[in-house]
Amino acid sequence: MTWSALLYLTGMSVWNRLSSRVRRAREPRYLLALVAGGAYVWFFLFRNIGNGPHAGQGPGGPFLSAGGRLIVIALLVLGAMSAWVFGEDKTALAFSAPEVSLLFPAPLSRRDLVGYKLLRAQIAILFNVVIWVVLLRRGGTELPPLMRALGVWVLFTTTHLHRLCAALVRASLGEHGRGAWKRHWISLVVFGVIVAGTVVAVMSGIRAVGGVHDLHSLVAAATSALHSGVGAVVLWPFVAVTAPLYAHTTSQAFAALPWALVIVALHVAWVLTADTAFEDAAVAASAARAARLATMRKGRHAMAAARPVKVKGSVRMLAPVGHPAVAVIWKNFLCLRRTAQTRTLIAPVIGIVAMSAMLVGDVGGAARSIALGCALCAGMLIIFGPAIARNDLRQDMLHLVALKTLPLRGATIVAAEVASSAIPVAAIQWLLIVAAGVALSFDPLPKFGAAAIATAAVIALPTLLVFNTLFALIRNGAPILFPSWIKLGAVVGGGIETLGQNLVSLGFIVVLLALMLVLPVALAGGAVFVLKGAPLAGLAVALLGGTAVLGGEVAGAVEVLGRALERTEPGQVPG
Amino acid sequence: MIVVNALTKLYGDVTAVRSLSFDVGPGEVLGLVGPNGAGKTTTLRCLSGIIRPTSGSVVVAGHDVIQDSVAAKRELAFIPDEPHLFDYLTVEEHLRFIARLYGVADAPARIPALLAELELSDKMRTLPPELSRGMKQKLAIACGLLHDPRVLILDEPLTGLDPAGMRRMKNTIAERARAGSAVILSSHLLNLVEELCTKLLVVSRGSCVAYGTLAEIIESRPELAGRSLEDVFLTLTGTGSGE
Repeated sequence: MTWSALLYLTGMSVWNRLSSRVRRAREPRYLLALVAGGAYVWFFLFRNIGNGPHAGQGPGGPFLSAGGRLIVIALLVLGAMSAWVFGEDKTALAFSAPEVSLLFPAPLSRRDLVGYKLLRAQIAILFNVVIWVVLLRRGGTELPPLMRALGVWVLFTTTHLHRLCAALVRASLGEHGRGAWKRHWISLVVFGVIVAGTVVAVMSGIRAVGGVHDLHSLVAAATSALHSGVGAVVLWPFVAVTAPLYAHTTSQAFAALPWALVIVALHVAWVLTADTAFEDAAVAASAARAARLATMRKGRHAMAAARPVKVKGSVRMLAPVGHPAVAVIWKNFLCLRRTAQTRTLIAPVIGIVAMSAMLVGDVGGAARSIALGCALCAGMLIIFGPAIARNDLRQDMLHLVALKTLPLRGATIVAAEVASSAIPVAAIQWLLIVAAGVALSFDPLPKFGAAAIATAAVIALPTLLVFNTLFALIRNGAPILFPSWIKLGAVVGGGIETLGQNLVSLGFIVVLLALMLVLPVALAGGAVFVLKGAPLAGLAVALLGGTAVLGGEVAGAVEVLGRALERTEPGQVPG
Repeated sequence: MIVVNALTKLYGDVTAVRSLSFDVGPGEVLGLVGPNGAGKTTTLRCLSGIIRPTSGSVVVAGHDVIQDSVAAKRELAFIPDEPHLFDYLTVEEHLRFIARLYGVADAPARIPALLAELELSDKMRTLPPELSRGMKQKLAIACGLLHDPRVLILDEPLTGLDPAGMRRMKNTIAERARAGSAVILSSHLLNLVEELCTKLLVVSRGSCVAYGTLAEIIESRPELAGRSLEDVFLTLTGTGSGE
């Protein structure tokens, strides 16, 4: 009775999800997305499906080799240890909000809930099995697709169940302390034995081959660790679950399958009996996931999801009178200040600093090195700037109801929103360019005089502003013109249609950018050509002229998008 | 103050609102009532300029909401049932933001008083995600009232408020009406509608089924005489026996 309801929920959810996507495909834009995504998937996965297996070709070759198996086993061991030590995968326990509110109070046992969770996980696992079977098709083995699918299924299902078990045990230990240690002592002892045995086996393997010097000796050591002494015992489960997939013939696979299925069955039994702390852990994991999804929908970086936002320092208060558009920019600056993920810049900046430092020896001169580093950082912001500064319509379209009640023209709102993300990026780039110029002025062998550098800095300001506005405008145009296409900050969801949407959106952005740059670039090129006798003057005229034309185009586009924004209705915006 | 003429809104083949006409003068409070899915929220969104009517017109304080939307919006406030607040603006910053948008020159003096009135003074530097549902609603109300709108449009204004907050909200609506604002109020709480509204617009399936004062409505339907507003509502909308 209970299971029929849960099966009904699972089946109908899958069916309704699929049928709603099919219904949506009646609209041309969704049909286009489906076709684009389908073409992409076909091209990369199914294009050569009728050509039969070719040994060693495609990704399946290396994956299904002996070396590939070693890597997979190593990843399984490391993944299992990571799940126990760090417990990073609480999503294994997470339910959706409706599931928590409807199923948890329902007359269902814990075992039913865990079973339901396993059933839902199987949908994702089976989908991945299909993908992997196609990917491994050209792996050079004789296994029929169904047998290979069984092998992949065993691997994925065991991995998922093990993570779920580890999450449950960790949750139980966290909540019940010593009592939980008593309850889970078998699991913990097995884990400890496997860890200790693995360490011993690896050390023995390294000794057996006389130390690791290169890739060959590493593979030999790993093989030795896996098949001899303690390793052959403690790592046997990992070998067993990979055996059906790595069998070369059907008879080998049939021989390996029973042991692999025993391991799967043991894991199922383990999950079903280790459910003491299930509800609390599941509710906590579900709440964390819901918060993460909500913050992602609101446009914050996924890695920063759900972190508490601090009200930083005193921001200069907004005067109550003045141009109202300034209020929108002020609001968005506050948003950027409170949400910017500057940590994401640390690694690239360190890389650039290192690269610049390395070039000191080759090019000579710390001044030039600093200038190069600044220029590279400014260039990097062209790519990363719009991704970091999302304090514009990409976030505010989620507040379209509030935006549309503001006493502002659509074009004014668009201009203010676009300026909100363009100005900070342009300002940082400009400061970097100025810093580069200042550094160059200390160069012992300057090619440019101070006056030329100052002129360049002055010319760079409007150019950077207009260019960044153009980039921001194109990125803001998409959620206005195609609100259903754009995931407003969300990184959830997926499927062929979403893949197609992303491909079409990217193509749209590239084409639009190219079109808008045609006239300014032609004009700038003409100026450089005409003034080739005075290259610096030619460059200045080119930049200023191109910027002016581009500025005109941007202004026109803002008007068009403003009218489109006025016509956009809240119901068209997802999320 | 607000004049609506033949307002119609279509979503594809579905008619959400069908040819609604009514007006609300200064000091009047119109109760917009109807069953779920009757088109109340769509109507309020059309009046506020959030969505465009398919046909018909909405004139707020002499300004057409479509043709002269900025001037019209400057005169009105829309307080939705679900508060739409910016996650990264504190309570005080929300009000300063609104003040700049509407050019409320005396905002620095008015904001503390408004926050005190709505019991939000100790939450001035709090971000919306840290506020309770009721406090978010109060902040949305404060944002709506800061610029003294001539037309006040409220969708389920008591949602999430505690009893004291409800009492205060009702007083505020009545005070705004006495001060000359035109108020349109949508609610399923018929006692609230009965207490505050000077006239009613009953909608069902997007169409007007009754419009006028309660006395006028009963006069046009004598069989409703002596019945409670709940019975009148159920009978008019055909959603219950009305007995």
